[in-house]
Amino acid sequence: MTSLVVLAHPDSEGFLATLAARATVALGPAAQMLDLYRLGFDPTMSRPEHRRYLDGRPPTDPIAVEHARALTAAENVVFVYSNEWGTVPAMLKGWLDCVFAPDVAFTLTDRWPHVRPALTNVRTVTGIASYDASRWRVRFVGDGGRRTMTRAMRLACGWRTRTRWLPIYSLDRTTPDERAEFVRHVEERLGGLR
Amino acid sequence: MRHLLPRPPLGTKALVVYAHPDPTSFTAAARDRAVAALERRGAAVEVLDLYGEGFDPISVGVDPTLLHHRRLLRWCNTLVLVYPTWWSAQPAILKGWFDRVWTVEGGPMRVPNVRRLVILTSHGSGWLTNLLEGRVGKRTVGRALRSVCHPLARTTWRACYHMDRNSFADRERFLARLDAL
Repeated sequence: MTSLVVLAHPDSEGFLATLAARATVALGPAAQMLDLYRLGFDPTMSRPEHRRYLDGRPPTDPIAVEHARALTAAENVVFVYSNEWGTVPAMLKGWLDCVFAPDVAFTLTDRWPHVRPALTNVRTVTGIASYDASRWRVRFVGDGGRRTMTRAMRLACGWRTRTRWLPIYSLDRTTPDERAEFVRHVEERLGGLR
Repeated sequence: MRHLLPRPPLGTKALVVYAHPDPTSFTAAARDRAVAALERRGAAVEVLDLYGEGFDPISVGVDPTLLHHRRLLRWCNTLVLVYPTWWSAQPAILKGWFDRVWTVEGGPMRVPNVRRLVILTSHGSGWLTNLLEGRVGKRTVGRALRSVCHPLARTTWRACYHMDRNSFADRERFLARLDAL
């Protein structure tokens, strides 16, 4: 199945980059990875693009158009990011702002519920997040990224999309063995989707 | 329990952080109304227009802009965030402002000087949709950011819903309520 892996982390050599690369391999030959930092993605929605968004028209920015095309062809979407201030980092939030646009992710109608999912091609959404904080700290401070992936995404994908959540807490305190074990766990979970 | 405590009045030093691509937007009107309300109370007000100054939300490292923003953040006792809600959270430029300005070397910055957080936002969809989406923006400020502010810091959340189809009168009512913030 066609899969799209979206990586949002500045360190292109670090643990998350390795994880995203291994995840892409585990998803099979039809998987594509978008390394947003390496691609130089601009997360700030410009004034003209915002104007188009309000008018219910899709983006024109060439990178956003290309990413939107990959998104509308994908059956599995996997997000890989590190938690910042209780939710996704700005880079990934900007990617959602710019690429999850009208006619790409949803269509607007006059009748209730007004917003209709357009990414009905997406069967599964997977979130892979690393946290500096412990599991309990994350529970206390709130996990906006998880809510974005497992709840907000449903406005775009529909209610039948399956979501799965693969977190690694207290990243700084994990041993290399624990990290390797986590990578194996991710590969195993994603291998079933290929 | 917190709700039984008297609400602290808007402070004397307010930092207004505004993030919207369009200077003629409703969000800009909300910012102007809030700034006017603060000034009427005699507060010193500083406004940061993130789109206007071309804030870079993703760079790694420290630059003079960042230091200036951190100085303002340590100076204020009321922080007012004015933004449109996109995908139930802050626009990337404002999320990047949290990621960069509030994170110092060695982790999150402590700002015990901030005693009041005010969020003024707009939603394309309704209250229920935002609830089902997880109210990510509200939790990011009310929980994650508030955890490094003053221990008794209070959050005020004002949202204008159904921007896709509400009337001029609805918006005017929202703006009028800001006078009594």
